[in-house]
Formats: sequence, C-alpha cells, structure tokens
Amino acid sequence: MTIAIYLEYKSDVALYRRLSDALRKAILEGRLKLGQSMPSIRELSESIKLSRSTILKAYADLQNQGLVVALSGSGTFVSTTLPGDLSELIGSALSSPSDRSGSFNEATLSERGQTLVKVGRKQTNEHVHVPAIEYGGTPIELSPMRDWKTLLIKHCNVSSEERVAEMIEPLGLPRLREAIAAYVLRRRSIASGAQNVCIFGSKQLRLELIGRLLLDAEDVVAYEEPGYPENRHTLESMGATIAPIEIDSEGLSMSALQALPSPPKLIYISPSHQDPLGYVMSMRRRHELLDYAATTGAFIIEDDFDNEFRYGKPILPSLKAIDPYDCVIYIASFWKVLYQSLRLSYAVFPDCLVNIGALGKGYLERHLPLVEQLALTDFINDGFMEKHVKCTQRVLEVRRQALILAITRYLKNLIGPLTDGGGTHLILNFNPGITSSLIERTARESGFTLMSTRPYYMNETADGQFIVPFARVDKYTINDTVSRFADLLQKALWSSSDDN
Amino acid sequence: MIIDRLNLVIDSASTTGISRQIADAIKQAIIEKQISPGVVLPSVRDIATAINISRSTAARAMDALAAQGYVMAKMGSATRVCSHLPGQSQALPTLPVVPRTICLSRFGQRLNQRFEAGGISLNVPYVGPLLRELPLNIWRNILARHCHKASKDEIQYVPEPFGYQPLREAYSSYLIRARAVKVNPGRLIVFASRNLRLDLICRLLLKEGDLVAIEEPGFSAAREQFLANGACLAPIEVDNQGLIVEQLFALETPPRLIYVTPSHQVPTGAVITMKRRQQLLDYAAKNNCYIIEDDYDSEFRYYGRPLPSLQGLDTNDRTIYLACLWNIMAPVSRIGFMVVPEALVEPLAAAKGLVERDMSVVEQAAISDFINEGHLEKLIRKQRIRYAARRQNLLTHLRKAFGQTIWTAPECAGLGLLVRFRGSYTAEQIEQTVLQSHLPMSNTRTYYQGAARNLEYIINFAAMEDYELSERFELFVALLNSGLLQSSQQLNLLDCRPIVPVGDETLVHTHNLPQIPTSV
Repeated sequence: MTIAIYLEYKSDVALYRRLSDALRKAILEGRLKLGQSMPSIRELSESIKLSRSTILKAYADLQNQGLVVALSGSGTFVSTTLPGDLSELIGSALSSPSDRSGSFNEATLSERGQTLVKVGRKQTNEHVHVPAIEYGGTPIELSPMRDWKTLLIKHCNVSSEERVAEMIEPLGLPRLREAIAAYVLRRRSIASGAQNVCIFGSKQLRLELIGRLLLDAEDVVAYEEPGYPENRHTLESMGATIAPIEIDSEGLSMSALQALPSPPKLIYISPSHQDPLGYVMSMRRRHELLDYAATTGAFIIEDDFDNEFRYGKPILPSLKAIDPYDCVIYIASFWKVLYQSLRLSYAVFPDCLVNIGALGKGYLERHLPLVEQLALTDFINDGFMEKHVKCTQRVLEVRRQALILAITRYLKNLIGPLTDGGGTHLILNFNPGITSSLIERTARESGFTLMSTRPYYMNETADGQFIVPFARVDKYTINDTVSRFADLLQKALWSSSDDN
Repeated sequence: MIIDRLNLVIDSASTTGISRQIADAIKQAIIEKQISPGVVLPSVRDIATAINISRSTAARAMDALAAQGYVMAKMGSATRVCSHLPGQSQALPTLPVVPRTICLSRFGQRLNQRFEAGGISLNVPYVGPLLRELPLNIWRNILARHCHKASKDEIQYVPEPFGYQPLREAYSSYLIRARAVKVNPGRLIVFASRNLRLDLICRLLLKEGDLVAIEEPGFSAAREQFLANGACLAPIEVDNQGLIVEQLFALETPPRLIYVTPSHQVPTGAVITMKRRQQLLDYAAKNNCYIIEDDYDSEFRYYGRPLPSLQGLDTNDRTIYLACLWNIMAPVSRIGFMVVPEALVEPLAAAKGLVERDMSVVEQAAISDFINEGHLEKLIRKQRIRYAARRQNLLTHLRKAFGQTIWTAPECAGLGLLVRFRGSYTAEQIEQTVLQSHLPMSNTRTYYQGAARNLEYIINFAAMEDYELSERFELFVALLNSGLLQSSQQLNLLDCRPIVPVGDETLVHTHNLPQIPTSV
C-alpha cells in the first residue's frame, strides 16, 4: 500500500511525532478510510525511509489518540469510530471549494473550445431525448459471444514480446490490418491493401482524425440531410460549416451540391444504405459524385456503417472500389455485427493520405487494446465473421418480414409507402396531421419501439418520420403490438377530431 | 490429383493454427488460379488422411473457406470452388490513380512541418516495463473472468464519456491515498488514448499564438502537442530544485498554461521543492493560468519519501492533474487519467463525449479489479525495489568504468538515469558505440526546445535485467575504449562537482551519492 506523506520540517518536534501528525492528517482528510488497514510497519519503513522503531512509536501515538486500533495477529487498523468531534472533520479538508463552479466563465475557453463545448452540449441533450433502444445493434441472443469469448481468452493466454513490438504501430496491429484488407476486398471489392487500413480504438476518432487533418474553422463540409448526427457533431465541433445536402431516391442530390457557394472540402455520405432513409446511391450518381470531387479537390467520406445486412437486393460495389481519383476515405466498424461495446473500428485511406494519416493517428492515439485486436484478427480470418453475418441476416430477414406484414396490415391508412432498404431498421412516414408527440406517446403506451428522425436533420424536420428497428423484434408478438399501437393511435385521432 | 496441387504443408512451429494454415493454402491456390473455378475439391476425409490431421480440423478449414465465399458446399454433393470469387466478382477494370494535391488544415500542416523538422516521428520505440516482469498470470485471470462475464450486462453497456464508473472509483481512491490528490470520481476522466488528454485541454483552452510555459529540457511529446495546436512556447529552465520559477515570473505576459512534471522532472529527475510549489501555485492563481501537472512516473522514487502531488496543495483549483498506468503496466494497459478542476468538469464532459465516448469495457473492468484487489500497489512496490537495485548496479558500473569523467544526476527517481560525459569522448564515438552494444541509452537532444546540451545521455536502466545490462555495458565500455584516442589525464576535474541537493532531501541523498572529490 502506497501512501503520500509529507513530513514538515520542524527541528523542535520529534520525528515520530511529525509522522503521527501526518498520518493523523491523512485519516482526517479521508485518505485512509475508517476501518481500513494501516500500512504494515515494514512496508511503511521501506517506502518513507524511516526506521521501524520510529514508525512503531508513531503508531503507538496514534493508538493513544484513539485513531487506530492494533489487533494482535492481524495488524493495525483505522478506528471505525473516531473520538469526539473528529468524525465531523473527515473529508472536509479534501473537499474543494464548491463556489468555484459558479464563477466559471465561458470566455476563459478558447474560441474553438467554445465551439467544442457548444456542440458537445447539444449532442448530450439530444441523447437524452433518444430512448435507449440501441436501434442498430445485433440482437443479443445472436451475438457470437461464445466464439468471441473463446478467442479473447485464448489471446489472454498468449502474450509474447514479439507482439509488444507490433503494438506500437499507430495504425493498428499489422496482422489485423491485413485481415481487414482481405475482408473489405472479399465483401466490398476494395483493393487498397493493408498499408491503407487504419484501426481505431473508438469509432469517434475516425472522423476526429480526418476532420482535424483536413478542416480549418469555416471550411465547408457537405453532409447528407438527413444524416447520422454523431458524425456531423464531430465535424461541427472543429468549427466547420456544415452544408446540408438533401437526398433523393438516387442518393445525394448533385444539383444541391453544385449550387453551394463555395466548394466543400469534405463530402460525407453513406451510399450503400443511406442512414436513416435507406436509399442506395445509384451507379450513375456515384460516378457523378466522384467526378465532382475530382474537379473540386474535395475528399469523400464513405460511411459503410451497415453494409453487412441487405435483403434480396444485389449489393453495389462501394464508392471506394470504383474511385479512380484517390479521393474516397472509407470508414466502417464491427459493432453492428458483433456487440455494442466493441468499439474497434477502421478506415481505409486513399494513398495520398496514408502518410499524414499515420502521423495524425500517432498524435491522437498510439496504442490500441492488444487482446481485442488479436481476437478480432482470428474472428475475421477463421471465417467467424462471415458465418455470423450470414446467420444473423437470416434471422433479421424473418423479423423484417414479420414487421412489414404487421405494418401493412394495421397501419396502412396512417402511413405513406414503405421505402426499401437494407440495414436493421425501417422508415415510417406518418400521414400529415398526426403529430410526432402523439405518435411517441402512443408508442410508449403500446410498447412499440420507434424513434423520431429529428436528430438526423439539421434544418427543418420531416414531421412524422420515424425509425422502426427490427433487430430485436419478436416475430410472435409484433403483430399484437402493432395492432395495439394502431388502435390507440386511431382512437386518439378520432377523439381529437371529435373535439374539433 | 488436386490434393497434390494444393501444397498442404503444416508448419507445426508456427503460432497459426493448423486449420488456418490449411485454409490459407487452399485460398492461395484458388486465388492464384492453380485450381480453376467450379472444380471439385477433395473431401474433408481425403484431406485429413492425406496430411494426417483430424477430420474436424479439416472440416473447420473448409467451413472458413465456405463462409468467406471461396468454396461452395452443397448438401449431398461435393464442395466446389466458387465461380465468382469474392473481391473479383465485380470485374472492375484496374483504375489509373490520378495523383492529388492535398490541402491540409493548419493543424495538419503544423504536424507535417514538425515531422519534416524531425520533431515527431512515426516509429517511436517501445519503452515500458519488461513483459516477463509483469504479473501476467493474475492479469489473465482477471481478464478471463471479465471475458466470461462479457455477456449481457456488458453487451448492453451504455458508454459513459468519463469512463467506466467502477474504474473511476477505484483509481480515485488510489490517487487520494497514494498521491494526496483532491479528487472524487466525478472529476476523474478515463482516456483510452493517453494522447487525447493534452490535446483536449489544448483545444479547450488554447487559441493559436497563446503562450505555454514548458520545462527546458522537458518531455518532448507534450511539447509537440502544444506546437501542433499552434501554441507559442516559453521554455523555462530547470535546476536541481525543479522549475526555476523566477524565470516564469520574468515573462512579459503570463502564459495560458504551465506544463510541469513536479514529482520527477523529465529528464533531469529534479523534484520541485515545497517552496517553489507554493510560489508556482500562487502565480497561477494570480495570473489566471492553468497548471498541468504530469505525474507520469511519480511511483518510482527510490530514496526519500513520496511527495504529495502539486494538485493536492492547490487551494485555488487551477491544477489539471495527469497520470497513467503506462510506466507500470504497459503493454497490458494503455489507459490514461486526468483530474480536472471543478470549473472544467461540465465543459469537459461535453467535449469528451464528442471525442472519445466509447472505450473497451472489458479492459476497464479488469483494471478496476486489478486496483481494488491490491495488485497494482503490490506491483509498484516490487518494481520500485527492483529498479532501485538496477539503478545502483548501473551506478557502480559507471563509476568503475568512467570514474570521475562522468557526471550522474543525483536525483533518485524515475526509470532513466541522466549522465553527462566530460569531454573525453566525442558524441559520435559514444552514439556509434551505443548502437553497436545495444545499450538502452539515448541522447537528450529531443528533450530540448532550444540548443541541446552536448554529451548528455539518459540510460533506461529499468528496461533490462541486471545481467543483461551489465553485459551490454561491458561491451559498450570495451568498444568505446578500443577506439579511444584521448587520454583521461587531460580532463578537467573541476567540473565534476555534483549539484548538491538542498533542503529536507539532503540527508537522504548524501549517503547514496557517489563519492567525488570536491577539489583537485
């Protein structure tokens, strides 16, 4: 046990007394808790370089004051009850003055600090409104936890010096980068090779790195509208101006992009499955976008967040795979496939950003969790990943069908046509005149899980637009739930029209 | 036979599993078109008997290939190579890559400039405790326990921007006890990436051109982080009592941030005295600047008592305290901690949520157990004893080989020993010899913002076991002397006087100091 002790220098006070005062202070400050064992005499004498007899004397002194008790055969302990008024003093010495927080002045932050805090607060507030339904994740019962655990434990058991050397690579464990390069080649036809792959310990760091390297304050970022709020916030927190670009059924609207007063430095899109609307960007649009990026010098961030799940539709090659101009940064992660708290994610850089990307990565994050990286390498290389995706997709397909069936049966009159898409959720557009608050309240009462797309929009919100996740839908009860929801909603609508 | 074309050879010495080796070999053959699409592959049983492995191993290899889309298994018929191979199915033409000019942000440009100037490098060598000296068995057990548990509650873990609550509780009680830091779990922030700590502070508090006071010489990684954020630096020199605060007071404009390593200055090892600590805190309160106390290897003090932290003395709440487990537990843990003033808690909570909200739960949970069960402090104690012995051993060697021609820093803390050679060798000779003998010794050039001190080196005694260090040291001395031209009589012994520590520390140090004549 280590304990910080500062002995004040006073020539007229005996050393043991100075020590017992210091220990007394430690007890009163709450650094040594009531009932906790005191450091052993041998240990203390080693760490503070005083002779054992001095410490013995100091302990005896404390015992006389009633602050510690010595139990023969087990050691010395801080008393559980302190004599007199002392117990009221405990902890008071360490607590910091509380009036400080009130005196905090925003102006002490730098300008970019203020932007950062402002955006951070906005995000925190939005998170409060979003019900904690984890609309994207794989259903828990399908999580490949057994295989994953086996791999984790296997790698806890092997640790060699050679792996330590691998760990200092800021771009990530080399063998995991190779595994991911092979994986994106197999699944998404991206032929960049392992040297372009960069592993991140947290999924927010991907956009943090890209944004920090390429964006100054006031630079323009074209961001799909609606689009994933978290990534938008990260870019916004660097002071960038976000230009929302609307989405049509072919993907990002090119005319809106070309109408921007100044060309963007970054374009953020999710082409394989637009988040949240679910559109797939057409092949023609993809080429147009690439040409646009090439002429303006912009970089495209392709967020391939849930490419794994699609139903019946052929998968288009990723934007990165057809990019002749070296301008696409591909980002993806595994948490949707594996489990929520696995936060390893990755980016595939274009060749021109590999060097500066490595520099920036080393600056932001140099070391990643070793065991999880090793386990993930095996998970991909031994085929668990694809096996698991296939098996999950089969289950999701059934749940999706059950949900669509229930919705078309009971909600047909209340919503617009369903859009098709992959991923793990559906989008419902309720008829105009049904307010969002009514829908949310009814959903809560009937136990139907849905979530407004409000946070996804920067400007005006499409009212009555909701995300319905189906990854955790129970195919046997969903019918009842939706019918209950439809009944309640219908009743509420009738009663409100009666009032009018 | 196809099986002969597959070239299935098992390397039993490899760390790769047998089924993976077989799968890789078959995949290779398919990609290189040695087996054409549509061809029937040998059965699991054939593969198993041909190379004498179990059928389940062979079956696992075929399963992996099927999952990845290289072969097609159909019930009731043989396994065939897929006609469309993954990754090539789109038949994309190979695209000519048009070279691009990149327009970096100012941050990116500064990073690039510092790289070209040699300030930062891509490959930083690993410095940390020896893996074989860590309690890996205990760590494995704890980790395995949490991996087993990693089921429902951890799958559903909702990330907390400040880090896993039990870990914050465990570490803050350690800090209160061992370092007298004023902290509660609400003010302690866990960072999965240590580098983000200073970066976040810079983003919050610094604008381009703001002044930051740093120690000269000092920790180069911190200096580079300030530079990358566009700060102007005010190097403040260091003597044997730590930061020379008078130089700080003499600055025309007070700095926005003061970065110090009070418990053990990097690289000199000096400890800031109590008097200067008080002066520093008063100055910070009067001039509204924040002090960043990097307490990164305060655990390793070999003589004298552990001093309480600067943050613990601060009554004005102007100190940001940084600590990490790297020097104790790397590579097992890479986690960093930061204790922030009350006033900064709310802004930092907002900012941290944007930058790094999600961190590995398994790792954080395992570390909190490691601390709570007392393993951390046991480990620190063992390391302290071990490193003190190594340091002593190194001192004996240095004394024997170089006698009066070397000066060693008297401060007994940290994982490295600062030495200065006195003229008898050139820097080139020494550095050449270090390379040849693989002695863990490097020059201190990177620690200086301005002109570096000549012939000053730091020896990482903690990074090597005693016998290994002795061996390499002897080799180093032998190589150095074989190329030596100058005789040792020409040395000026007057310069060899060590800096004598003052104050309460004096008594503790003197009997450990190498005996050096004070006059000739």
